[in-house]
Amino acid sequence: MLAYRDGDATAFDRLYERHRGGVFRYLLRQCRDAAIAEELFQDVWMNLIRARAGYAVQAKFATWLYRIAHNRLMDHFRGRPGLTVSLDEETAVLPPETEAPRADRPETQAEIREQAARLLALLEALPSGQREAFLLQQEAGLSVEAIAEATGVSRETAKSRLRYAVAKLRLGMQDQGCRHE
Amino acid sequence: MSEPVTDPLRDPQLEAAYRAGSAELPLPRLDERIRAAARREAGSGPRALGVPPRWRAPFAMAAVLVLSLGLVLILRDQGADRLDGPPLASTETTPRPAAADPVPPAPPAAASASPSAPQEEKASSQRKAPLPPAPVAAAETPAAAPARIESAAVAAPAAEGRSPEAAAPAPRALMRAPAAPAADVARAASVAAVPPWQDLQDKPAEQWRLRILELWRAQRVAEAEALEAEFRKRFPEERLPEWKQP
Repeated sequence: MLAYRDGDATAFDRLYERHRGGVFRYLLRQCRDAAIAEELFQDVWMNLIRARAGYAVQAKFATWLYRIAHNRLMDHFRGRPGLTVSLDEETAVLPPETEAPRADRPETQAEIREQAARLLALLEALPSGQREAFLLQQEAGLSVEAIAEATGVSRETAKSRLRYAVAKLRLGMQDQGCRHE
Repeated sequence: MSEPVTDPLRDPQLEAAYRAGSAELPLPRLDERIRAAARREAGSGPRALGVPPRWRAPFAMAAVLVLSLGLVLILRDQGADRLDGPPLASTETTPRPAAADPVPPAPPAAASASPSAPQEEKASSQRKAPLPPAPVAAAETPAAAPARIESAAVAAPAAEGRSPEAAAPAPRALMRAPAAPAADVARAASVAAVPPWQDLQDKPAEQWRLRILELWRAQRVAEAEALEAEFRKRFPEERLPEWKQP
């Protein structure tokens, strides 16, 4: 990003190539509408391009990028009064810690696809804050601290959301018989 | 079977399943649009306007001041040419030259038969107008000038002489009189031209958030939205304040 800030356009291409998929999927899974996700995606990158002159290294680039994406997403939700997004859904009962499943591998590609589809359905059912934490971990590779920074919450909150998300997804996959024979 | 330690924050199988189902990408045309914008921005040099960000605000303020001053001068010039606008009330508190005060002597003209009245008038005129009359007025109105400068003993003739040409000094008086309204207009214009974030130029994002909240609380929606838009431009990585209607 520093190279791009100083006028190297190819540096942007490299950054964009590395993060375009992750940012797009993060937005897509959060807003659940491809057209809106595209619009937000474009806004995020345009904001980044506009802000390049003032860029200073204060955090990992990915943290900064996803913070922009998170803010744009929040702006989008705020502009839609009918759509309420609750980011604090830790009132749900956390499922008990489950034993780590053995690493049995799916036997066929069809089974892999089926598991992926189930996981995405479970992910969609998660509360927004938990889903976001999981997506930031998976798509951006952010640590708990970076997730907290990108979403503007405390480290404990971010950790709690991520823990709930993983536990619920794990439980959901087990319930559907994907993880245990 | 050994029981591996469960990491509550990571699950390799979940991650593998997620990756297997995550292949969505933005459309190529979107990619092209963004890349083109990035190239344009990068190709336009360090800054699109060639002005470093820290100088933008001073430049903007200077431009506002220059425009305001220009507006004031234009309005003053226009006011000097107008004869139908005597908003003198606001300038009565400041002493003005005698040449700019053609109206007050007129009523005593009827009572000028008494010689004491003009003397009092002269005295008060001298008290009120310590500055000498402008030579322009004297040159343009040979009859009116003596009416103010010369002795009050000739007040009656002076009043008679002034009446046909009393309008002559008026333009000069109006050149001063409209200054106050013009200044008001210019001030209002400059206030309107000043963005709500003018005093926040170098302030941290937290100050901006507080101002945005204040504006929302005061239901100054347009300003709040303008400030939010500017905030978003300046601090894309910062969050907007959460504001809920009470």
